[in-house]
Amino acid sequence: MFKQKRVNEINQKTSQQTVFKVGFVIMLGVILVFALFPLLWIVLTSVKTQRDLFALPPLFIFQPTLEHWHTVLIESEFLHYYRNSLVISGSTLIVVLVVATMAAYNLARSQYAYKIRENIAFFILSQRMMPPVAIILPVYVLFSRIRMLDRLETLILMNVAFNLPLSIWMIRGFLESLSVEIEEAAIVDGCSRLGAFIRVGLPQMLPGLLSTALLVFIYTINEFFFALILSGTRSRPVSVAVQLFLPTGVRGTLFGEAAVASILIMLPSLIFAMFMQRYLVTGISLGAIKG
Amino acid sequence: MDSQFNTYSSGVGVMLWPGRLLSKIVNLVKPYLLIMPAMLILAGVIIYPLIFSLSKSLTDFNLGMPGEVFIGLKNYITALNDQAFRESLGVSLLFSLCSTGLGLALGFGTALLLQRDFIGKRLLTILIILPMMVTPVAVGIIWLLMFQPDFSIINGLLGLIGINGPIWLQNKWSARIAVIVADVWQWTPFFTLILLGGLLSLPAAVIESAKVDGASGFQLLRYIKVPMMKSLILVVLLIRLIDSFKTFDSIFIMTNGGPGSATEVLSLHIYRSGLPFMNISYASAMSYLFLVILIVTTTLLIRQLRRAENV
Repeated sequence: MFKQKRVNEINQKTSQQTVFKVGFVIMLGVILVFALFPLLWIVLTSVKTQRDLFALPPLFIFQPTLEHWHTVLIESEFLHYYRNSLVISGSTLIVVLVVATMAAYNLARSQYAYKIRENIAFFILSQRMMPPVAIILPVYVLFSRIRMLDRLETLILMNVAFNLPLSIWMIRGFLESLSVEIEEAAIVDGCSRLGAFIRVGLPQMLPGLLSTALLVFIYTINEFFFALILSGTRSRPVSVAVQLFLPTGVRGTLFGEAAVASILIMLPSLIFAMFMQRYLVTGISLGAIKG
Repeated sequence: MDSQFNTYSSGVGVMLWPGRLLSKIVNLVKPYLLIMPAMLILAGVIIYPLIFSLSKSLTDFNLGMPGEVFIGLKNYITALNDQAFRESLGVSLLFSLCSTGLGLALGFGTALLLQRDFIGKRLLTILIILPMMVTPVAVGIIWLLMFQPDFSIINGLLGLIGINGPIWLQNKWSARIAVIVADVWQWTPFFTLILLGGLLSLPAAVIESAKVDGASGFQLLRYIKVPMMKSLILVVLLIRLIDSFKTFDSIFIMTNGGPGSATEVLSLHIYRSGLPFMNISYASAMSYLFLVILIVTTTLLIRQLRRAENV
């Protein structure tokens, strides 16, 4: 009698568990579809012929075509804008890493008053919250006065300024997690302070620097607002150039091209995200918590 | 350096003190030397423009017309009484609150699902996080295409289940829903990522003992996990609230603030009324009001961070 009851209980429990498992899988599936379907759809759109684009109900199986890819890559100046983007992101990355490491070293290691250091650090952090729109008008006026509009250097400078705060905070965090003793030992053995840092400290925090670099690269290549206002035909990066393919105005002409362009823009960040996820997650969670 | 000066210009007191002053300055600056480049860049690119626009916001400076006159707070008063400004403030609040709220709910739900171990979890996590990595401009294009009237996949799918979808980006409320959906799509993974980290670092002992005491899954969540993660949740919420308040790219691409000004958030409103009409002073005043709102929220955030760090 008692045994039977217990078996029933166990049966009930396992059936509850199966229901739970099925529900779990379904919910995960829904989330996955919500996250990935738009991306899949944009890829499909980029290889549909003009006629298939307007088919109702929407087609999922069709004869793919590369005509939109050809238009964007070969017939337009898209690759030129892509080059601009890479130059801007690459230069920003290098400048930010050097300047931010210097500043972070100072904040993490210098002996001057703790209170001043903390205040400087929080001042720097507060800059990250700055809405770009609040400074774009004066920046536009000032740059046009010194004839710096439509130049790559201008965009690099803006990107550097807007990526510095987060980078300083991240690198400072990594620096503080290193042990100072090893570097001190190197100094005792005859290294200069700089030499000790470069030979001992820097290699230890390479993963941290890498994740900072990745984040800066992604933010810069994604940057749109400053580029929209400060760039022109010569210095236009790809995020702004993509507007050329938008279907605004002439409705229903350039959907395929817009899809291709958007895929090309997000490709670098997506590739980085996929292959270097471990570094990126460290960076983002740290970046988020700290700033 | 001082002594050198002394031997060369013996007796000439006037020559003495510039050298001393110099070394004094060097000594004062020396500890801050490494942080100088960063501070100079921030000062030049962010602080100086801010001061410039503050001074211009008190005048009637206009790029289209020469000359400027000091007019005090008139620009600010005009902005606060301006119907368009108030409306865009409302749109911004609606947009930020809705997208942050939905993102938090969805993201926390996803984090709870990903908290348990199963086969393929790593791959699944990477895939779910992808939208966050998509360029905001591309997010705008993706959803612009998905919400298109003539070949919209969304209306196509709605049609399959017998619903006649609206012309999404042409109607006031459906356009608002559309931009919120795009934002939620992009930023839900952010909540997931951070909250998952928080969930996984909860002390196992507490959870176990609650389980032993017979707490159900929901009770565990309601009385143990959420209270323990309260400060983390608050921090993520504030970060997203601030960031979504600054959203520009995706809305600019999807609707450019339209139809009319239905989706014109504050940054778009300032951009649209500032640059094309060259009315820099008025736009500066508006951006200062915008800034004040953000500073208040940011101060809250930083206070929360400092408290979290001290505990």
